Amino acid sequence: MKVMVCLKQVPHQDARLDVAADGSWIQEDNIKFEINSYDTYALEEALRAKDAGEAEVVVVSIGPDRVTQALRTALGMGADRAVHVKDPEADASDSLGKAKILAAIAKQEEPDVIYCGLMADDGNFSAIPPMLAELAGMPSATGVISSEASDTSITVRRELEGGCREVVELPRPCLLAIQTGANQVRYASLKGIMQAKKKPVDVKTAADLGVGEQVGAGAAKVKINKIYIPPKSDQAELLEGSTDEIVTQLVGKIRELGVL
Amino acid sequence: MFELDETQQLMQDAVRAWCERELVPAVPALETGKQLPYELLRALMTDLGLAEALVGPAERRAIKLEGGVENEPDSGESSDSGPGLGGDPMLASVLLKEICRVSPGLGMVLIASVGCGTAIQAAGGAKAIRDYAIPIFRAEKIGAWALTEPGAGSDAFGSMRTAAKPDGDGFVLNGQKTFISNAPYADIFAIYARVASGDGAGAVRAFVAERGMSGLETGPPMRKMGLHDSPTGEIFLNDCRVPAENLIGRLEAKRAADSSSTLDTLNLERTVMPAMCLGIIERCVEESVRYAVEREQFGRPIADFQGIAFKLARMELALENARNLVFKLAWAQQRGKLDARLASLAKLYCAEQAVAVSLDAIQIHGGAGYTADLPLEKLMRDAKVFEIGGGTNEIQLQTIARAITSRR
Repeated sequence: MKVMVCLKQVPHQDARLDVAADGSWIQEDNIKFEINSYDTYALEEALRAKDAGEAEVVVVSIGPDRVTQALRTALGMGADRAVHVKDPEADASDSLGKAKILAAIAKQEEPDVIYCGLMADDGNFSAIPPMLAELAGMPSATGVISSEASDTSITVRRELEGGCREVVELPRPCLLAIQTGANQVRYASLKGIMQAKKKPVDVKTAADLGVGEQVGAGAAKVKINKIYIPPKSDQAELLEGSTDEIVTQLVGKIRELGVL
Repeated sequence: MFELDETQQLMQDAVRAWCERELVPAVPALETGKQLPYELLRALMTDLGLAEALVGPAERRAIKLEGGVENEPDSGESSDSGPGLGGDPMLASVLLKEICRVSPGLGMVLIASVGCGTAIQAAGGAKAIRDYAIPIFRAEKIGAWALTEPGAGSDAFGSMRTAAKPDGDGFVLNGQKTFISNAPYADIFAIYARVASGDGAGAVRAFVAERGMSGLETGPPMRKMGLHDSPTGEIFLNDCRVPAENLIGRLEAKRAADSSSTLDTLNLERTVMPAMCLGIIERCVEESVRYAVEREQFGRPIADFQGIAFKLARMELALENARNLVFKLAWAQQRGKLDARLASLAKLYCAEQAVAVSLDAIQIHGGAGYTADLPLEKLMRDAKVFEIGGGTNEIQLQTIARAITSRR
């Protein structure tokens, strides 16, 4: 079995985020990056499939030089090889453009399963997994919290609203978008780290993958107009007094608004 | 050489991720003594594959000794490629630096336990390696390395009173050790004692003792200024009999300085402590810069005030120097150029700066820095031990001065 894991490198959760001078994105200089948290669960799910049987795990990412570190971390955790799409045009693509790049890799790799994180911590689009599944002609399931593969299919549990679970069976090949908390993500081990530098990282451009014309800023249908931090509002009103007095005031305010 | 390579960077990322997820949430319970550090030590060693990396070379050494190879002291090579964890001394430095950004105490627990195993691996026989070093490396057992005595601190060798008396096919140990990391809970002890009679009489050698042996007792954890997450205590030896194979090294191999193998271990201790101090310095600088930029007083960030700005600049200088010394130590170890002068220089400087920088960090944070809500007061209390343990600042100065004056 071959599994492909799509990884995105995102700003570290503790990084100080400032908007770039042109307002197009955040200022990326001098901030630390990490693997998107959703994707770490996707990787773990793939590595568990590898632990359970004979599976080759190929990790794939799109981004500049810094992405190498995310890929090497994944290799240190146990992935077998990596594909790094290093191409400014690929970086400038919208979700559809990136999904096309990933679909082109999937066409070459022919994985039995593609694991993605449900969404990215930075962009929050949740767009690429279903787009990639469609472009790769695969059935997909999102919000996956566990998966179990048989020879021909995969049975997954999905997280629904209100604590409900849903069990879905998909034929292989298929794509699974994994929810956070689905598993306990392992750490890269010292041995894995030592081996990581010897594992292959295949560097490609969108043109190498035959989709150079279909991606990039020019082909993007969704454009980011601006990134901004909402101005602080001065409309907050602090209620003072004892708990009972505050509750009374609060109920009065809510009634004034006509909510109650 | 002044930047982490890709492997070292990955190690740093992995340890930091482990610390953020596993260690940071445990700090309050560790600090108040509600939780002992040993489950975390086991998790650290297994989650990050340290146990696997340490056990392999120990097993190879045991097999070599079982094959009849002369028991010469181990070269310290733990892999085919060089000395240290994973064949690269910088990996151990990165590991300890990252742990000590959060909990210098857990770093101390780690080096005390693994240091005991390493001492056994370096000069012990195959049976001692299998029975004691490997279980320590697997984190199934906790080790302690016992040199200091109530009357033998800086003059650990000259004033050592703990005695090992040859008795039939073993030795009988009598004496007392103090300020020993892990002692209250350790399973295996590397105890330094003066050979009382016969071959090697007068020489200081290490002997392995196990908890449960008749005549070995330990005291309760000491109350200390810092390192609350690292249990420290006393060991009492009262006619404690250990078998001959528990002697680490050989009696008759009385070298010019009979304590040289112990001094080697001390030098090694001095090479890891700078990295531990670097963790404290790095964290304090990061926290202080972030706070000084964000905290506003008199209508502007406090980083704009010269009093704070100059403090930050000096802290950054200390960080840069400490980092360079840690790189230099790794470089020297890799090339067999580590000597007492360099080990002492690095340990002295990094310990002094860990104390100075952590105090400055508290000052920059004002009242908040003085509270236990921030990590700084803990790091400051923890930093102080590095000016005392592993050789006091004064001993490091003496070592450096002797090294440079003896050249003339």
